[in-house]
Amino acid sequence: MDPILLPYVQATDEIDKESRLEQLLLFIAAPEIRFTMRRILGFHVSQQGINPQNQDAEDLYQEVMTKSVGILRELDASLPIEIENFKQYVNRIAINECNNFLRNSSPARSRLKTNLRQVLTHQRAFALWKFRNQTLVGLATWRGMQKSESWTPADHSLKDELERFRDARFPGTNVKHVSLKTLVSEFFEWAGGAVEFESLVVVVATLLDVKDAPVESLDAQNRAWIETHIEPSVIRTSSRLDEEAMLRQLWASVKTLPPNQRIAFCFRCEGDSGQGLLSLLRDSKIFTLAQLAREFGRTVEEMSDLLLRMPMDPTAVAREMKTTRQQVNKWHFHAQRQLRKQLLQGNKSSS
Amino acid sequence: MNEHISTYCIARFSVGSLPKPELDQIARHLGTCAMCDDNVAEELRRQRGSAPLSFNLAPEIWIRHEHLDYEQLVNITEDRLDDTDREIINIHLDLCSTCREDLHSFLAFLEQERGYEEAEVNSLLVRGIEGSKDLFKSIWHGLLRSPAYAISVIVLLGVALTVSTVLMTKRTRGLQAQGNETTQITDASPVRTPTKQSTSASDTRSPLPNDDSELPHPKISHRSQKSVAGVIAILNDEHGTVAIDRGGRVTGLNGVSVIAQREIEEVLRAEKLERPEILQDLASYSTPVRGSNSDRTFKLLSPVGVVTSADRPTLKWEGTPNASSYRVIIGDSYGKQAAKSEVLPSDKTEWTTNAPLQRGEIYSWVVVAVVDRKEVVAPGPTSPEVKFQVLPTNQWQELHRLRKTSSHIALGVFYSRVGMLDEAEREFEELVQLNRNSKLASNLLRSIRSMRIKQ
Repeated sequence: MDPILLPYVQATDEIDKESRLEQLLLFIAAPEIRFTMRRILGFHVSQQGINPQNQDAEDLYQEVMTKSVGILRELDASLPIEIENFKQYVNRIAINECNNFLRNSSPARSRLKTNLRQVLTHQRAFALWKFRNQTLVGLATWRGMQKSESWTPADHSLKDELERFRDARFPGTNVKHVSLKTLVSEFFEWAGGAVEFESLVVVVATLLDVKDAPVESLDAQNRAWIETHIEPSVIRTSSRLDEEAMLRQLWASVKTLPPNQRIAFCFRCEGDSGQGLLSLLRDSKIFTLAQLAREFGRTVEEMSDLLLRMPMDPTAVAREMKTTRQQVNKWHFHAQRQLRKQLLQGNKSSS
Repeated sequence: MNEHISTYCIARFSVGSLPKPELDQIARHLGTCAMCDDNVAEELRRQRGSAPLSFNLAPEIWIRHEHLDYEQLVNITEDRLDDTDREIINIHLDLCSTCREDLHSFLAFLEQERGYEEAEVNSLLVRGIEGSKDLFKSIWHGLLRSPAYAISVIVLLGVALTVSTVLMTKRTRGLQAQGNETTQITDASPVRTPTKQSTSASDTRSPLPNDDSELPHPKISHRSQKSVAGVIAILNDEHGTVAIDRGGRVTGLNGVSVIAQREIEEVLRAEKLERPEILQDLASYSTPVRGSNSDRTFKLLSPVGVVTSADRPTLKWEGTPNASSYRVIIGDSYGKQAAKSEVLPSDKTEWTTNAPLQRGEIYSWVVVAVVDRKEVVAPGPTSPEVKFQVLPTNQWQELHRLRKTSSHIALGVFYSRVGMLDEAEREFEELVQLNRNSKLASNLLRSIRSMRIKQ
């Protein structure tokens, strides 16, 4: 058994055991889960497992955490589970859950959603609006109305209801060969009032019999392919002694970037083992918390809060910078290109 | 907070495991206390461990997770991307088959809806003409009754005709100019949906009927090295269309693994299939003389020099006149007997093994016929050995997954790679049926047939 688990397994006092469990989760499992989710799915959550912009990421994090707790509790019950390396074990759970998430995603339905959004926003006859946190859709003349009460079939009667709709509006016609615009228009008239966008997706997916082929997970082989096909752009240290020099060199280059590029890069950047760049600058004692706060024009409280959320996803950075995700990506892209030029070409010429 | 922070609080602060007011209080203290700030740095370092530090600055590392959203798809189709956007999207599309599929599906959908709209307008026009015939008839009768009005109407019609002719000419020129643009991806519009062809299989909607199966090469925007949606060829497949773009990327292959997709991309780019090495191992060479009766032997039909997916294959041979019975013997690659049939009656010319054979193993087989109380062995003593392989387990699992797609392209490429030539030929024949004018489909069929000739 991994020695890291022994204090927990051997603890007899209930309070002590809970405290050891919490430590394992906080300091070993949580960072590993966050790192794996970023690597496989690009899903970011804060150190507390939060991402207000990505409910899926939060759910997935909680799922892996719950499984990890379950495993640890089973250890408690002295079941024959042998864990040689707890960190790797958590990593495996996280990978499996990420792959399950991919398998359960439904690209065909998501494509249908895109097509419906296109029809609803580009055809003058239709409208899409927000009403009390709901996204409603319907005929343009209904804009601003609340959800229709006249058409709300229960899940179990949806198929029958749609069968009636098909017979009434498209007798003898295969609806798969009808334009989406016509189908939606007929459905709105049938429904007689605004419906939720998500309900419309379900209705049209049922009518068109949209089914998904399972999504292949990004397995190790594919990841290896990606890694061997990208140009070598790695800066690394051979020893801990070089770390500080490397980080100082990286920071010196980062300082030359325009302010927006610098922020976009620093808030997103992480080392290959998963630590945020600013956190690394801090643990190498290149910057104190106060100095970092000054560098980025924040209070120490704000900076401390930001550090706990790093590395961030582009949506979170965009919120911080009050811009769009695409803009953040562009700044990050330019910043990386500049840094590659400075750091990698510099290394090549010096060697 | 004037007191220094405890080790317990430092550890929890470093992972954010304290209530927000406490985190803020500690942060304020760290802003003024160098010693505690140093302790937090030490704790962070301890948590990091001893792994060497490295940074990967390749854009692919993060761009692979930057999936296209609805706004980006619209921006692509409406040419609202700048150079950087396009570069980022192109890198992502290189790595993400789902987004490639999303883009082609969206383009195909737009094209399809446009087709429906055109058809709708045409049908309205036809209905309008039918209706106006009756109206015209009644007006004409009225005019005949009052000639003064008739002359005025004729003059007015003449003016209207002249004006509409001028307008129509202008519009036609405009449309012709547009038509020329739409077959290419121009500088102004790097991603333009071709007007006649559907660009890809949309998994949610069936594509429109399509006469031309291959698109002209699109002109690439000078601003970008690669086109985002430069489709150069489209093949009709069992459940939609498969599109190939200038970068050799293939879309429309739902449910096909990334690895298999790359293999298909290579085949479609090369327009030919490589002969699999296994066929070399299964090729028939003359071996030392076996048995007797060389002059009266008969032919083994299948499997001959190929790979079979069934681990209980059915072996077929040509009947020989006057045979009173047959017996089939299968040997493994070590020459050991792997299976043997019971004595089969003379009207039976096929036999399925009773027990499964080992997957991945190469077998040779013979049929012993009893003719006039003498044994006649096929293949004859001077003929080459007849071998086959049972599809290895990993490939069999891959095939199981691929069959769900029903894609002739995906299955054809798979079968040819593993040496299942009959099946590969059948898939490419189906593909040619679905793409009668496609040179690419014919080339693939020709390629698989040439493997047989070489055999």
